[in-house]
Amino acid sequence: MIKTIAFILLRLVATLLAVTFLTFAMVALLPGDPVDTILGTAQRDPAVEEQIREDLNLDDPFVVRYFTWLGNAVTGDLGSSYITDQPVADTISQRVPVTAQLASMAILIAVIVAIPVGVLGAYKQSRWQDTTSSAAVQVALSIPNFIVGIFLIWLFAVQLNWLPSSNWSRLSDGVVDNLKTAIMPSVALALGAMALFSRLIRSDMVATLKEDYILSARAKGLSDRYILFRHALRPSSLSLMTVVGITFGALLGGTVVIETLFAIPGLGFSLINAINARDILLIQGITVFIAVMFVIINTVVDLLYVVLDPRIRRS
Amino acid sequence: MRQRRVVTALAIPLVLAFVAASCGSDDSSSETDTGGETTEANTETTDDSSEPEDTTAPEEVVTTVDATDEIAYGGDVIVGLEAEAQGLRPWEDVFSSNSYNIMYAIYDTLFAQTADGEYAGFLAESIEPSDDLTVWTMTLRPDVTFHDGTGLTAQTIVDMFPIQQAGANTSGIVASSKLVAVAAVDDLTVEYTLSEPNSAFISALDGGDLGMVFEPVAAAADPVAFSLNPIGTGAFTMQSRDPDNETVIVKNPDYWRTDADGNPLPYLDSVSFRPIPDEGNRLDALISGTTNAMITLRQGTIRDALEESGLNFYQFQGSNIGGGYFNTLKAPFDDQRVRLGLVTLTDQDEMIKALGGEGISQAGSQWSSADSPWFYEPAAAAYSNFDFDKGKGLLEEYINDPARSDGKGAGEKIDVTLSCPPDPSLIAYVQVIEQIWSGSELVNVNLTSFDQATHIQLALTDEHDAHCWRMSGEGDPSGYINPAVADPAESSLNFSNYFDPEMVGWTTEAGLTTDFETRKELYGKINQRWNEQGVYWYAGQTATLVATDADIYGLDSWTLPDGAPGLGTPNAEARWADAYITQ
Repeated sequence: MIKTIAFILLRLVATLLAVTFLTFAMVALLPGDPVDTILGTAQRDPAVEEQIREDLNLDDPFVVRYFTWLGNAVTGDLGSSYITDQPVADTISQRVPVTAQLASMAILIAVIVAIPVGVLGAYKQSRWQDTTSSAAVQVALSIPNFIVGIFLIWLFAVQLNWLPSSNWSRLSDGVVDNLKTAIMPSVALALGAMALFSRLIRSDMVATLKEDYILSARAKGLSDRYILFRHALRPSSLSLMTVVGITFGALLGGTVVIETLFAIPGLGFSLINAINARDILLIQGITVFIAVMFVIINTVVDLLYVVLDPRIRRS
Repeated sequence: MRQRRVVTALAIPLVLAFVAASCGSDDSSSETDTGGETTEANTETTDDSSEPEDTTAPEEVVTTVDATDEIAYGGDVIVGLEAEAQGLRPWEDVFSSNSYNIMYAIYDTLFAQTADGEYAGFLAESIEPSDDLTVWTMTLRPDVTFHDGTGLTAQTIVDMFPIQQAGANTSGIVASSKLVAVAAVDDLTVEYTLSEPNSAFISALDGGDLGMVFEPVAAAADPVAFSLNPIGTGAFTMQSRDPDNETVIVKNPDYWRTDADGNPLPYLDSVSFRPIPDEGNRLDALISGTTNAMITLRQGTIRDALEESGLNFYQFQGSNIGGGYFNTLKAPFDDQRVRLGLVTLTDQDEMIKALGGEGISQAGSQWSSADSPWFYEPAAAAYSNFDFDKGKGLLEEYINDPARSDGKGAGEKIDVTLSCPPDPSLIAYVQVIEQIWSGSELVNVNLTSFDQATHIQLALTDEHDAHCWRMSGEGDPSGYINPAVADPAESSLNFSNYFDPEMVGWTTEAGLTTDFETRKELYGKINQRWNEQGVYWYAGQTATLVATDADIYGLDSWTLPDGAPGLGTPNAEARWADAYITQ
């Protein structure tokens, strides 16, 4: 057990080092100077420009800057934004709950819809229920999530006036208002995941339903519903679990388009603004956070396998 | 099997209907178009409108909103901005139209521009220059307090100065305005000392330059916190700031200013600002009632908004002009024939149409609009309007010249790299240019597109050929033109690198006189010389819009303290202190 934990930690550190170094290098290679974003194209005082470069260590060699950042980061100091001067850690802590809520709601919606659709497809394999759900899945996978988002805005905000078209109401300001601002972007994000999950469930379920123990269960006279959800679903969920974990991690960093469309102050929105402004420390901070979360989530998924599958425990 | 085919066949039109409903009523968002604080960089505007169904702007456009007599106190306005204001520190954070909307509500300026473009007192009552224009004595208005109760005195202005000297946003302006010292003569009298005469110094005390008055003690104590909780003398105070989501300001009950009838300002209870980068969604937010006002500097969005009913439109087309310039240090753009030839090949009307529709903005010929007091007729006459054969003739002259500067053989086409930021309307616009230039069969056009930060850096580091850009503004031309004629060896802000010592001499001469006609002629001659040399091409004055619910008024009828009408909403910068909601 200790060896496993040590291995996981070592893997986490190696991943973080690689991710942060590559991110730092790639941003450093980008044309565009953060000083130009700070000063704009207005008239500038060369002495002030020089002072800014010195304060931000922009004239230091790339490797020196990276290790300076790394040394501070391990103590929890992710630095301050070049543009806003706000601590990077503060910015991330304000953005994380928003993106996490969006990602969680998207996953929840996707799983709630995907499981019955996938189970139905497997149970009624090759019949019209399966065919219809497969077609719907293809449609859902084909449509980019921002198109879905635009459609939802048009329908629910502009035409029906049921929901606000943009921005975010924090949970602290009221659950109902929060859900009103979260539901459309979450559905837009969920659609693709929903399609993927349902296909996965269906495929695994089809294989599981051919197992001998399912046949035994049927022979014992158990109902189809009981067999499907009590005996077949659990072993068919292992792949889904992995994909859910990966999808959640991907959503943490992959909500840029939806957050921008709906003007939601999450990690993705912050990240794209930081990239446009060459706000290197903010880019680093957000990237590190996403990388850490990704590894943690996948580690949790690995551990959950042990809980869900007694065969793994026994082995 | 038959069932599968039927279901699949039904799925296809379903998808198409879905997509059609989405695209037909709204603009798709660009993955990289987040707005951001970029318009202050004066690059060509971004517009993420999709292919328009109708490229013709409405023929009749309401450009002013008649103020009503039904002024009422109370109400809350929610404004959709293009992007978040990155910071609210006048000395440090670069401004854009988005930040000005917030900052004009929280801060007052020493001076402001009237509807005629003149400068008149706002927090200041008056200013007088010495005979040699190196000492400017300003008298402040009495009985003005900051939001924290601190009184505004001459010492406040003195205390602001060291912060402004070191500030990222204002240090350059301090240097270029020649300001070297600020002293308090008495409680309300400030003396500015310049190192050289500068007849346009008052223009530096307006707006986002040195004129936006902030509480210096709090600013110096914690500048980072000040960005989230700024302290000014303005009509509104900060209630909450949730960056990238919502900034809420509320009525300042102790605000010093009144309207023309002596009624206290502001009228509104609160104003909330929400960044909504997606152009289509910002308009949808207004239409759906999520917001009740929005700003835009995108011609396509203006066109779409004007087609909506039940809204008030506060439009402004001033002296800010779109277009681009050539890097005159680089062959073949170091040759006047090439520059003039290419300018003469650009059809400004077609470019305006590509940017947002026919008639969406006025064609331009210089760095002042036709209705600006700085407009110079000889410069307009010198601009090379579209003439395909003439443009082609100029290029042929160069191409057939065995001594051509690009080193290519006689008869070989010239190579041009044309660069604009990657937004749908700008892409359409450069494609129009590319088609015409290539259509001459004398030019190889390479279109490139970089994000805003890269686009700016290419301009600053001279790594460009033909570069989209946006020039000028409403203030004194010295602020825009002086850097653009400076020696490129000393200033990276002369993006075209066109340098003529005579033009620099004209700017120096303009700084030595307060006579308007003399200054107008001097800056006019600079525009004329640029046009004669083909340094810039123009693609229409920048159209801007503040659109509001039908019951919101006052944005174009705001006045200065002495009753003079203000400049309206230049660059979609609204003065919310004077706005009201009718009952």
